[in-house]
Amino acid sequence: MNFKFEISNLKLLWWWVRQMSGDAAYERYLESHHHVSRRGRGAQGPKPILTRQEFYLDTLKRRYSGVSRCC
Amino acid sequence: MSKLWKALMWLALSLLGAGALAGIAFERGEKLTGTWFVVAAACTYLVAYRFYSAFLSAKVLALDNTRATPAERLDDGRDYVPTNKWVLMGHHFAAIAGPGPLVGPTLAAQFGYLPGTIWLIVGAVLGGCVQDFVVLFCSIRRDGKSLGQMAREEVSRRGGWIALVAVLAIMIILLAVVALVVVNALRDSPWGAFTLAMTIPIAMLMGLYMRFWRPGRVLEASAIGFVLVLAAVVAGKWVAADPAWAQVFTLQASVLAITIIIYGFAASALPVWLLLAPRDYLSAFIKIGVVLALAAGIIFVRPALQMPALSRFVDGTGPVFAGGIFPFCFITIACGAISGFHSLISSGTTPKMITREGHARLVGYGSMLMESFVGVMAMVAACSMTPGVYFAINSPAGIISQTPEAASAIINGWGFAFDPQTMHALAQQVGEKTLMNRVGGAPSLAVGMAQIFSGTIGGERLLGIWYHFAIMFEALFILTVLDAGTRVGRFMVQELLGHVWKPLGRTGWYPSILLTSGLIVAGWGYFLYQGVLDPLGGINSLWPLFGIANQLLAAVALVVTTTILLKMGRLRWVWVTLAPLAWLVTVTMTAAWQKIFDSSPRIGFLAQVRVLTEQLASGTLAPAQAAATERLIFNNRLDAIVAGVLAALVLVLLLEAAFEWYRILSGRAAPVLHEAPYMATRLAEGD
Repeated sequence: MNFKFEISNLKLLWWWVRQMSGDAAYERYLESHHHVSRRGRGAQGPKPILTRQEFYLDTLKRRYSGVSRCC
Repeated sequence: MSKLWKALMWLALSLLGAGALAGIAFERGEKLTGTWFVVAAACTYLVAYRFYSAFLSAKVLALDNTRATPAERLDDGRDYVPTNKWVLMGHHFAAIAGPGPLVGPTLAAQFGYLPGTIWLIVGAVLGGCVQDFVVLFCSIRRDGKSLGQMAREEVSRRGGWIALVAVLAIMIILLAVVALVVVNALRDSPWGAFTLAMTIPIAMLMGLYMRFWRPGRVLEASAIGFVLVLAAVVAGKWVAADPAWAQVFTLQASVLAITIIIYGFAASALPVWLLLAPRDYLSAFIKIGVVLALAAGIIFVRPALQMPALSRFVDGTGPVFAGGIFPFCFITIACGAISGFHSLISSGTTPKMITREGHARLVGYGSMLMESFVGVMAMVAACSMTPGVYFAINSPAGIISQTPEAASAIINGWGFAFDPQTMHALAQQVGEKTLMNRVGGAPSLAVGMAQIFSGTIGGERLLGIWYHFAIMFEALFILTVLDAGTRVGRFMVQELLGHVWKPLGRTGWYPSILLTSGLIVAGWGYFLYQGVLDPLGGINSLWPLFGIANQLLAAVALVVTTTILLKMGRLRWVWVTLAPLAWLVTVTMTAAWQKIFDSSPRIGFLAQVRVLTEQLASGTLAPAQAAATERLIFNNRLDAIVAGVLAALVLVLLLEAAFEWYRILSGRAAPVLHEAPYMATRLAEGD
């Protein structure tokens, strides 16, 4: 086990924490938006890209409209 | 690694797990340490995951990694998002693990450590994990449809309605019972009440931060929130020590209940970004941190279990809740073994985020194993305190009375050593006036956790801080469940009322929001208040009701999955869901029957009604007492009706499903599956 290995493990953990917590959600959305619009979405054309703030509020609205937390 | 080595390794792991389980079951001389439980549970989980879940994936469900999942086909970057399986497992685990796996095992510890531990491990491996996994699979194959929609399409129209009613009922009882847990933990506790009150402005500050200043920066806001919450825990000690402030935050149970009801109403009408979401982020963080810390604590401190393997209360006379091991151990521990509520998460957001069908094994089966592990740790924490103290904290005043001195004769009479001085000293160490009669599980779990944590850091000096940290942590995510649950309940009622009058179905229309929020809050608020007034502590009637509702929802989920397996032509393997279904139906129907008709007034609602009616008829009660008794009579009748209606609904669903199974098996009806059509994945192998 060397130093480099440790660093890459820590990086992986940090990546996981950011993904898990939703901290990286906007970046993922941009990536995915890029993906989706490149593939083309029928006659509607590409959807407008939300700002970070709009995306955040939109995510929350969706999440808390269904059962999000259990007993 | 060669095949032989692998086989030997799994053999060794199986033997180790079997040895640890045998040690737990048969050791009667020396005291066991928590390590035995960790080893037994972990080995069983690993073996079950490696073999049983592999069998489910390959033979029963035939997961197909070449088939595009809804996340890939419908990818919109919002609802449908292909997600890394480890990330999704974290999401799913954080969603399914709430206060249930902590509170249930703590209450069931009154039977001794053995029944609960075995049910947690076996129930999860053969029941809970299977349910979560199979429901997730079914939902993935149906574009992420909900359990209700699947029940409607695959079983019958009525099945969908029954699922909807069951979900609403369980939601209302769940919210009442968890609110009651908070009330019992915080009544007459200025330190605890202050800390929890402070979490509200802290969450709002985080909400503003993530909404306006640094949109969506969850980690930054959570770090700030965490530091502030810790500061609030420490500051609570000063508040409790200051006579003027202590008085402000010393709240009676009834006042606290009304405060929580008003709060619940306000919180469900506030925008989510302000209070609910930030607190949810904070509690998810603390939850995962505490679970890891508890595991580390149990491994390092190696607490010895003080509770016997089987206590005298296996006969059904337990003070924490009345009723024998069968069926009550199996409904008291729902979350951690098998919980119907999980099927809503497994058919909610998770199926829309899964990248490959094969990941469902880790996410569905694996996450539930982790929750079961949390339950086992809670059992260890509860059983590592002396039984006398455990019963003093968890028994209602109606049974052991309010002071340690008065309770001493009763608890000693049960055969558990109990010294009133120890109880006073413990209350003082954790910074409380009294720990007596704090029913509901949270305070005793907090004492158990504080003892384990202070064994690692801080010793007895920090016992009070650890205790209040644990109470804050439990209360924090109970409040989150309360807000989120009220909100979801509101949407369901809006959907129902929308059929009656269209405008009521509009989720953004304020009069409808106020009306439906009011209905839901009135629903759980009523049961909560009833629990607070109950001389037997409320938990005795409400927790079993919650357990019955939750297990009945699991029965609904298993009926749906069994039907789908039959339609898929997997008759040979249908026992994987049919066996847990049969067990759950037996358990819940027995429990519902006993809760309604048992002749012991502590168990049967109607027997309690009889006793109270006789008291009333004797004419010896003072007017105020008579009024309270009349209310109790009404409440017991109501509880009996709720239990009866829930059981009847599930029987109807079961009959409908059985009819459908008969038609399919006898060839009278062609099995029609409502799966989305096959589409090959376009993802590369490693994705």
